[in-house]
Amino acid sequence: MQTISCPSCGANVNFVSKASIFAVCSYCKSSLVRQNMNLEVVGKISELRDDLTPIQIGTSGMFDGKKFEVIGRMRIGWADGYWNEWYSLYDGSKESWLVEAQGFLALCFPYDETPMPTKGVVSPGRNVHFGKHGYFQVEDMREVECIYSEGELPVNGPQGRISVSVDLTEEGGSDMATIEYADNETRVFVGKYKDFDEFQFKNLREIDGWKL
Amino acid sequence: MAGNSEGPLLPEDKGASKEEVKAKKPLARTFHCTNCGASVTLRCPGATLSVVCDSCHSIIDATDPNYRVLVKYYKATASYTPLLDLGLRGELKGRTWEVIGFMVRSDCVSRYHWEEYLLFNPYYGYRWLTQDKGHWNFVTPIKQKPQSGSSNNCYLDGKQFKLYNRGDAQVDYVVGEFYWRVMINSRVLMTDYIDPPRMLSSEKDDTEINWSLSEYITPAEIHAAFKPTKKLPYPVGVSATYPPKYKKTDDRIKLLFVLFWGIITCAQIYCAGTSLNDVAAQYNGTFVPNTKKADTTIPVFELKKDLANVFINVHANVSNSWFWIGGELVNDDTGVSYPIDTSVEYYYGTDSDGAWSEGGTTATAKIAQVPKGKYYINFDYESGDFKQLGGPTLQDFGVVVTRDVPTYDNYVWTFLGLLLGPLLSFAIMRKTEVARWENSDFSPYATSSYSSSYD
Amino acid sequence: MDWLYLVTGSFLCWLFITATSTGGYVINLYGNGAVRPTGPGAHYHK
Repeated sequence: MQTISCPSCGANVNFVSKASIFAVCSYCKSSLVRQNMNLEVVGKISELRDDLTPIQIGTSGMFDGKKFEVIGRMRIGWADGYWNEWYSLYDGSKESWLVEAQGFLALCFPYDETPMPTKGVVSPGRNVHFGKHGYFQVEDMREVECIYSEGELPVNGPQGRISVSVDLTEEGGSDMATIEYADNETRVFVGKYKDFDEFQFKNLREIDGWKL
Repeated sequence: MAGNSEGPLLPEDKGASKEEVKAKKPLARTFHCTNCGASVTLRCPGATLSVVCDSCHSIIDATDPNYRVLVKYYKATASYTPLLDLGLRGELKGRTWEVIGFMVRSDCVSRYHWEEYLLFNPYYGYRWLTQDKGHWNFVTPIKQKPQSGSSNNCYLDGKQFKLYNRGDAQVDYVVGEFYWRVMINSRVLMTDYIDPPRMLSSEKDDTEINWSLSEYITPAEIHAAFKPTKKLPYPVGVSATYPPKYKKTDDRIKLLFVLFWGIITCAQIYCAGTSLNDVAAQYNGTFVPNTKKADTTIPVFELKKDLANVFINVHANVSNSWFWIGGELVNDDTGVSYPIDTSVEYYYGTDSDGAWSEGGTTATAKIAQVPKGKYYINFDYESGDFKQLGGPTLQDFGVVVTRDVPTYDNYVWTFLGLLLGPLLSFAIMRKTEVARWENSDFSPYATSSYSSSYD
Repeated sequence: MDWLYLVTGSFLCWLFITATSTGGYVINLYGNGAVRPTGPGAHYHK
């Protein structure tokens, strides 16, 4: 773990993962970009007015017999809703994302084994080949915006970051995939939906009036 | 707790733990309706997208800091009262759910409507309860896509679901809050497939298809969970997902039938196999046609085996004539007697349809359950319709008394009696199934070929 | 419903076994099983 001083307020900013290039100072909410041991302030994250999620930074869970721990979050908004993408370290140090949307939870991992089609040729209903995972069908394609981030992230997550998010599912099973087309990069992930109880979460956020 | 920065604690937080400081916010919130000023409760801020004002029924954007109105005021053609009040919490299948929304939807063609209740739990997400003619379903939205089978069914985890209905549904009435921007009169194409007590449903609009899995739930379970203030309506008829309770019963009855059939078949084989089928006595005599004679006796003979039947077979050379015997089988020791009354008749001829015949040259009197012992038979006999061909000639007749003859009547009757069980069960099962499919356009029991929906 | 069939089916099996093993009839079509003790003698003789 690396600890660097926040250039804006002086508080300690911890980096659990070497891959994290972006973080939000939990005290002054400045968004920081990291280069080696240097942090540069690139903006400020405005607080979320409402946040109804049981997951928080520090929550851990189980997936396929191994543990993962949440260390960062991006809250994504689109025309008709929101979801959370929780950056987690799986089995110690592997990058994984816990996607939380309308009560559905999936853990997915970066995928780069087969090439992905360009944004222009993707549309709902189209099949995309994902190597040994088989064929996935495009469910929807949306323009999305990062409206909030916290913790540390392996990607630039300032508020206002716009990208196109494509959701895909596999017929018959509960496997899922996501392709994100951003200005300077395309990120692809493959994962699985699971029931809340299957994740065996620990260290969840307390929600007033609700006990697990 | 693993955070990634430690700022100095604010003065007012001294003494409180980090968790306590973070978890203080109460969940539900109220604000004033932008349209009419009435108080509106927001139970799931951050998750809810649209909330309906109870007073003016405007649909409000819950994510907008100014709570802008999405739909200013909608005139409901009818007003509906939810059976489960908003805010009510209940435990279903081990999890607590809060009723946060209520919706009435209807089929666009038939205008048939039903109720939907949106349930919420911050850990487990959303579920729905649907109510239709008193029947309830617990609905879980699913991400798994069913595999398509033929045009009339689909598969989920290997189980087949049969197409039940397909049509456009629209939103007629809303109250409470929802996780999308709900619109009055918005339409979706709904398709339902059933595997009672479950149902797979898809809802398709311009942008997406959503699947959900429903399961039948009884009003009693709803009542036990939510303890509603209003009385729940009594279920009418058989709904699409009504549990096929009879199936287990029917399977058991089928099994019992096979068991019983096996028992009587073995018993029949044994009894027939161990039957004596002995000729106990015989009598041959002659008679003068068209006369009577009384008081003939077959002298004492023995009947073996504790309790068995006695067949008294009479044969006579009748030809368009008859020969009758009547008398008694009498126990020599006890005097108990059994009546005998039988006649041999044989008629034949030809007419416009061809040759015909009726009867035969033998007849049998059967006596049941005759105890063993010494017996004799006394009988009278008479004959008639014999054509006199040149003077009275003597005709032969014979009587054969057989003891313990194997019979099959009992087997047939008992088999038919046992068959009643599975037949009745099948009839009841079928009646329930026909009723279940009554409201479906795809009933496998439909007798008429017209479609009940217009395109 | 199934226990009802168990009871009636068992009864029918019992009825079948006792009837067939004693030369009796489950359904007495001929009415010949009736025992009519007329006492010794009657009007017949050996």
